[in-house]
Amino acid sequence: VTTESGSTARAASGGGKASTDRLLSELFYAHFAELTRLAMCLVHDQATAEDVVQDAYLALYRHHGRLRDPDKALTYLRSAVLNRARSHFRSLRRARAAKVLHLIPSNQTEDAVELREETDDVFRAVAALPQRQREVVVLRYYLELSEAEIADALGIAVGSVKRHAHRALAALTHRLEVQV
Amino acid sequence: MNPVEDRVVRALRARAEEADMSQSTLNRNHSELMNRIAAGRSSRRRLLLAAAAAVVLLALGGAGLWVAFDRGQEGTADTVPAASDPGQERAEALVGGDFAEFKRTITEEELSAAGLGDLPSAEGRLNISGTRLNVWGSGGQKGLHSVTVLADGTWQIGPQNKEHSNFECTQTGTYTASLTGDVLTLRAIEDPCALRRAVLAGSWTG
Repeated sequence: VTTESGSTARAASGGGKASTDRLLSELFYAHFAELTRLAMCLVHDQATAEDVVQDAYLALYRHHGRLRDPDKALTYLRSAVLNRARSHFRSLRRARAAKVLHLIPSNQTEDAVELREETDDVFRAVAALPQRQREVVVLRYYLELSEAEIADALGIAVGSVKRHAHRALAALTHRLEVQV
Repeated sequence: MNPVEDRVVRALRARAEEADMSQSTLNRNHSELMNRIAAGRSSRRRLLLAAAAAVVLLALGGAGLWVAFDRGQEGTADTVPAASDPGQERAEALVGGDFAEFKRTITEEELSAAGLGDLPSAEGRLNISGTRLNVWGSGGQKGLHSVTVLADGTWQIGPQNKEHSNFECTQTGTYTASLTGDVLTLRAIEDPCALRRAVLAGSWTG
């Protein structure tokens, strides 16, 4: 988060719709891409990832207080993305069970699909993990957050983060070694 | 980092990099977000105006009854304008709000009545998130739409874009919407898209 955001945040602390919108826009352009990439690791397509992140910004907007501290805003946005991705993932799982979900067809070519086989295998293994383990894996290996930061983002204890990470890695090792 | 962790890192990075984060994508999302915020403000403003109007009408109605009583006459209820529909206001609040999901069975009869007699009944899901309204049916029907609440409280529903709608209909439809408890009832006023009308119109349970 840039110092510029911070100064604008202070300038906006007087309130006002226009200044709140401006600050939200700054936070949007600073973090939307990063948060959408995070959401991509947790949901099934980019349209859903964009929806999830937009929802997170909308929730942030409704809690104006967090807009004034960009560091808190980013932490809040990350948590909101995780929570909303979790809801979408649950809906997706229910829909799959009822066989009612129809995904938007992918435009990828056969060559691109072949190139992705290895990463898809691993991603499927990650997606098959229990929810908390999956979130810990994404935050640890994609965002490279520390255990304390993961605990903060998920609202759980550091000890729980360690336990989830350990179990997730054991499950991934088993699943990926079986595939080999 | 062991080999499995290494593969996980590569896979997650590859997955994340699939996202098209071009300037146009950012601008489109920014524009959608600001529209959703504006829609939320407008919705709140309408609710406040409706509440204020209800208070004024109640006050005027009370005053009218008092005058009638004072003149020794009986006040008549039909002189008091009808209150706005709370179900419609609750439905309006869904647009521009957080993610909400509803389900219903789309019967063969409904599809047949829309001239789609060869389609089997389907289990439908309807999601509203902000101004997006997404519908799936187990018969293969799906459509990603945007929804706008008009001044009279009706919903104008149209495809988000050609790529994301396979109702094969690029026109918009107009519906009345009412939310009672967890049941959202949509009724078509006008919709040139027969499949969308057959899927959307009905009672959806949240």
